[in-house]
Amino acid sequence: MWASVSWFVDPANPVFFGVWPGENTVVAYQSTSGDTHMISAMGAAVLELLQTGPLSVEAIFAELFPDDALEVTALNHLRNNFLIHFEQLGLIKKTLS
Amino acid sequence: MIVADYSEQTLQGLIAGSGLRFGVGPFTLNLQSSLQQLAGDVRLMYASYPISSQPFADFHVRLDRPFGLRRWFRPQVNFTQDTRTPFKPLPLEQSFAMFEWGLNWCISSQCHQYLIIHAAVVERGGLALIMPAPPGSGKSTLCAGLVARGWRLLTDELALVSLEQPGEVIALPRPVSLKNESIDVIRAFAPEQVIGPIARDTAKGTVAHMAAPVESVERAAEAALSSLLVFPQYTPASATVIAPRQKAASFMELADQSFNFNVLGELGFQALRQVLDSCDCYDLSYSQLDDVIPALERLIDARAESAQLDSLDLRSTGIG
Repeated sequence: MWASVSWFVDPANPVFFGVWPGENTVVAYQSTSGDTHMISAMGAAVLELLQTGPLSVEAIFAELFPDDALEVTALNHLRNNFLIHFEQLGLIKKTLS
Repeated sequence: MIVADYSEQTLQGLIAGSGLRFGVGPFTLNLQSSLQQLAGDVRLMYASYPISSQPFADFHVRLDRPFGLRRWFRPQVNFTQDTRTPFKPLPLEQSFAMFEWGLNWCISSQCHQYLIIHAAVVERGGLALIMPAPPGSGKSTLCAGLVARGWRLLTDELALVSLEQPGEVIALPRPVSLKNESIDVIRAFAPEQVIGPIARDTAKGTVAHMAAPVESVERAAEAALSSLLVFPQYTPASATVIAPRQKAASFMELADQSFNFNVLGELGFQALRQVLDSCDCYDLSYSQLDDVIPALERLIDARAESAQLDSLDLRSTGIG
């Protein structure tokens, strides 16, 4: 069931980033809502990927960690701590494919 | 021509009539009032500000005593911009403070051609030191101390960040607002500075303003590049401690201290990001002006030196 779910950043509501060398946190600004969030560098990498179009959790994992094998615990972590959280914040949307 | 070129009597006539029109940083102000004492206060605190002959003024403000019986037993003053009266009247002896607070309101609520941050900004060697802080942090005391030791005042309250030139702060030199013990601290630290009328029992306690130095007013057209972002905190008996802080967290704090970050949308985000791009960020704890000022001078001078070296590197590689 989870494999058919993808997430994406709404192109009508792009996210802009404030990134500074040597820091492990990033500022993410959503233009339409005006909401500003401080997120981890990992979270910013996820959002940047999702600005390119809808991706499943497996596809995101594969893009971020191309040398690692898919692993359930890691996928759950990515889904629960990033994707669902970002969706609740309104930074990304979910689509069924 | 500057404000001090007029006698107090002439100023009184102008203010009681069509208005005294003068430049304050990038703005032109037209001041009218039926209060006699205001002319003397303005002449003292805005002595070196340029008289404007512009037909346009950004702000038309008035200070007057309200009508009603109360004017006879408890005199008050009202601040009006155009036809708006944004505040309740204050005691008459707080007239000059109300003028300053009213002007803060005009700028912070209407001038969205800038990103406006609640912060003091001073400059040394072309580099701006930005000090955002909540009330009670000692920001204005430190700002006054730095200015008294030769730093150029860009602002004590309202940092105007350019939306066009990345990282630039526009100068808005106005009197520095001192509260409670700070008034005597600055009087003792810099007795040569001009301190204006005392307003007692205000919502902020006792308030007095220190006039902006003549040089700061004369150089009001010069912007400065934001270079240091320091979050000061006065801590009694503390040694001076300067500790680096992360830019992302500093960004969030600055956005929180901004009057119009949300109004400006993406423009505001980009302007603030550019400020953080050009700044080193620090937390500062201090208690003694004599200690903290040299420490900040060393910090900004080191920053200027490293900027010079960067510029030399770029030139040697043919990029600059």
